[in-house]
Amino acid sequence: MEFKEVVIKEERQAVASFLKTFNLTLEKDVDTTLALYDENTLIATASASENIIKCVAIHPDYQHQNHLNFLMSKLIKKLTENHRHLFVYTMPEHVEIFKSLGFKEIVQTMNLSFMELFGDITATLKALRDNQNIDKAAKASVVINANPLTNGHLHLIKTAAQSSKHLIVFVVSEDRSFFPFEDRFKIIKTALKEYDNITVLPTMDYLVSYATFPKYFMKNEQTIKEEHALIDVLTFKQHYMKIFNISARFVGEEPYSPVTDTYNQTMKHYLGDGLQIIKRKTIDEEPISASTVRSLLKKNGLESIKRYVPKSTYDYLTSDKGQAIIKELKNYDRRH
Amino acid sequence: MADIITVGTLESSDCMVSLKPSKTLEIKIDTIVHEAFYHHIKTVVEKILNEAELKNIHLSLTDKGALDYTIKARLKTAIERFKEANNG
Repeated sequence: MEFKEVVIKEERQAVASFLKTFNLTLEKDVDTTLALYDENTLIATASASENIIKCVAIHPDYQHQNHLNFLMSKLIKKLTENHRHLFVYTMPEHVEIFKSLGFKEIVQTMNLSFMELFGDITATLKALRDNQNIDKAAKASVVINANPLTNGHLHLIKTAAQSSKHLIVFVVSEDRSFFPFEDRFKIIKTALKEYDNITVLPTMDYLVSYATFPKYFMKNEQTIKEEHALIDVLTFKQHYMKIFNISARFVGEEPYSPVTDTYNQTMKHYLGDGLQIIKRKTIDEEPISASTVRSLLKKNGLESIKRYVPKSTYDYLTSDKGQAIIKELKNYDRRH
Repeated sequence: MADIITVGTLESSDCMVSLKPSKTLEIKIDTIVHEAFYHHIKTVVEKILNEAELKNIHLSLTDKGALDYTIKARLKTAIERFKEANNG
């Protein structure tokens, strides 16, 4: 047996064709791939995109011989050099294998199980709740990425805050957006500081974006979108709503983005009357969205978005950090 | 960058121990010999953590039927590396 970290193109291709025999694809965002060989024959492989383990497969002739445990030990060690919390999406029939590797299930659908290692969603959310002295009374909630915060988000938040005693604004902690989490969080805190019935909290590592969701389990794009929405909504319902005693979630109506529209429909299905869809705030009859703001920034610069964003976002964009992000947005456009 | 320490493997007769800072003491033990040895392993873990005077820590131990000596060795190595990483 020989074990290797896959770096060169030919090895990657070999892993890709190996995965193909299991009907799996080596996803583009994979940044770590390990492979196990028996006399030059590839017999097992496991990959990861940052802290999300993906594309795990073992040759049928070599199953139940401890090879997977060997490979996963190597992968887990490698990943913990840079991450302190690991995740995996797997098929329900493989849950037991990952449980035996120490993983714990967060949520399961008919097609997928979402699991974690070195973390515990219940303990994490309870600690977050207790650290902030959040009481047990019923609450409303909003979940936003705010990349960056716009007047559209503010409209949604204010509407939600008016209809409830206590509103929790969850800010997506995942750091894969143009605006870093820390800054998105600060901008929101500043914009909402005069509201004493609003608490701003991070989502921690659990509500993840469509970008990091594995696409290789399912065949068509619509099913993938629905599955991602389902995992996210069930995680929210079974953990966040329970622990924070949330009875309502407010979202913006989604006329354009098909991803978000699928998301809202799935939410409606699972949250029922607990979901409140709010009409978007518009400027010149166009709904305000963070992506509109980003593309305006890209094309026309800072002054063009003044009407679209609150003061805290605008002030941030005038800072050195903000200026760097505007520059990055402009370059990103050129690269593609 | 990561302040998590992982030692050991998930192979048969071994165990994997990981340590990371935490606000409280959290111990998570998964073992394939749960019925017979969970309490014994837990006692060993607590004793060693106590001796090392570690209180604010998240410890996760996944055991694949390791012997007592193996578990102790893995724990001690993990603790030493953890202390090294956290005290410069």
